[in-house]
Amino acid sequence: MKSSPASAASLPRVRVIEEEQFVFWRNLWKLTQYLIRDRVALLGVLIVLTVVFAAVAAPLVAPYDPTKQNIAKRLTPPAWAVKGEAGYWLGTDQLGRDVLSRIIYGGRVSLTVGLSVVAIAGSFGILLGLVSGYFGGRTDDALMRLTDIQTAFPGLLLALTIITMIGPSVRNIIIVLSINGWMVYARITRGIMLSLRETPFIEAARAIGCCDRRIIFRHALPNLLSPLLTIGTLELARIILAEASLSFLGLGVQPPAASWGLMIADGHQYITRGWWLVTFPGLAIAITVFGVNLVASWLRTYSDPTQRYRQIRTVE
Amino acid sequence: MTNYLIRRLLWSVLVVVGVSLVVFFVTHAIGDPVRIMLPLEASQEEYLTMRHAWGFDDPLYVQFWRFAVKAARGDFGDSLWQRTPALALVIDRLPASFLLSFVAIALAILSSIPLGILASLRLRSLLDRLCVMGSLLGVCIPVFWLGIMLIMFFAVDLGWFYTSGYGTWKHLVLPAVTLAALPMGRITQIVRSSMLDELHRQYMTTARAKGLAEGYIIVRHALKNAAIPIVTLAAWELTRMLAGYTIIVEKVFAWPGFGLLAMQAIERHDLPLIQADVFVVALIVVVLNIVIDFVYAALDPRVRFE
Repeated sequence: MKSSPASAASLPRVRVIEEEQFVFWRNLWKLTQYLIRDRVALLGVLIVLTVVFAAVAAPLVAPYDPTKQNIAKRLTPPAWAVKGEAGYWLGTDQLGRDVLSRIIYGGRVSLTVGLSVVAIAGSFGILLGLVSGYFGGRTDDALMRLTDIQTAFPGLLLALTIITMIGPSVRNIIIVLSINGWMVYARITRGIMLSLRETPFIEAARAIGCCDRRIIFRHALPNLLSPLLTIGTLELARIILAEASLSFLGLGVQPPAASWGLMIADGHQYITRGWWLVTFPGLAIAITVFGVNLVASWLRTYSDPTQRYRQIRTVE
Repeated sequence: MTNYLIRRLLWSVLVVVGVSLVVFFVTHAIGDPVRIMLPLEASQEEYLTMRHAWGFDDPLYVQFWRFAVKAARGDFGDSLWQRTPALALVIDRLPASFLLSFVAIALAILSSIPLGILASLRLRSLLDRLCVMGSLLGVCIPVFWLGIMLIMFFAVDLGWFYTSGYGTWKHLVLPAVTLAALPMGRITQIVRSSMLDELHRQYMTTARAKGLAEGYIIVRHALKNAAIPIVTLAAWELTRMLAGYTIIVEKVFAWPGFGLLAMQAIERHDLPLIQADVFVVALIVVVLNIVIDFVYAALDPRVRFE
């Protein structure tokens, strides 16, 4: 370790930070150990990491340009099937574009939309839930009525109407799905906040004179992180499916760009001549959502102390 | 009871009004409705004529008042595409959608209750594991993909059913199965877990001690007590179907219900028809929720309306 020309006064501070880093790495190592023990969760994490890697490194991983057409090779079956052609692992579509490359690029859309919506809807919903749970009263009443009304809404139809008015695009899908998705966070945050508000440590924080903002963000919020993380992961899976549905209905990413839902919609017209056009993008969706769901259920067990204790005992 | 009913109805009216308000603002305040309804090659003159004829040049509150007064009478204007009253068009499509949704939910309930009971009785058996797997898959598979895969296998390859359309029971099988498959997985799961809760209760031992037949105990005692969460979920699934999944499945199978109509209206930028369709779907969801409340009361004597 390098010694720094720090003054004596700042030394203890440096040591504390080093210790914290050490704890972080040790926790990460433990986490990895639990993961290796828990096969199902490991599978989920591996699926998610693969999809994320493929999406981020798409230009490096994809064998072809996803929009490059080659009419001579249109509707070529997958390489390993009868009449397949080497190099096109999952075949080509009606315009001779490589299906595997399009699936890899399509993952970008799913993840961009999924993560953006979780971030936007999540922050808005959590903020609203914190405020209404902490202060209660009129704000709380109004918020709960609002979420009541919104759950009675035909969400998909409304999303379709909004997109018709503002035009189909990735950005607009993110907006619409965020409008539709923030209530879950608000409800759950509010519920936990209501019970947290009565706990001794919040009372103590108030007694020593913390302002409301500090109590909400520094004392209450950290206690909410683990349930919210689980909800966020579950929502990610749901949003990926919702994006696929909207793209399938033609209201998401526009051609020639690739998205899993759009590929299935295109392939639908060629089901008699190319089964691979529909099958593989659908599998991509199902496997990704499956992986995210496994991670979510693992997070739920891991963040629940009693359940985690059971797992730790099997590890050690 | 009467008090509760009145409050419930008032609340429902409020929800429906809220939905139409949102639909109005979405279709009038976001974007330019005239541009969207006119064909792309329309001239500026045509644009201004239509804008005036439809009253889109009035202030927004004037437009809203006009919309609200007409909507209260069930008048959403004429469909641009069919040139007939929009609401009547939507109502014409209701039987097809109801047929599909109710057959699908019946299929899901009738198959998942025996499956769930068997799974709970034979814990950790092959059937139990299959049920758990099935409900997990049900969360992961996109419904439109399932529909197309079923078409590919049963209609194109085997030729047992039709790929799309409406009329005979052969048309109905594939869309109904597609729509039922995912709720079936989830309902099986809840039947299994709520049966597990009931199976070891004391009243079960008492019933056995009285010498009642095992099948009778399971169906008449345990299942009846496990019914509340099952009905809750089944009702929620039916609501979700009518408000969303039916639209997608109707699109896949070209099933002429209000969902397909909504998609056609959206493709043709037919605003009056879109408004009428969303309004009708919201109304269905609200009415369904009230019906469900009463089913609860009928099932569980502890539920009292206040």
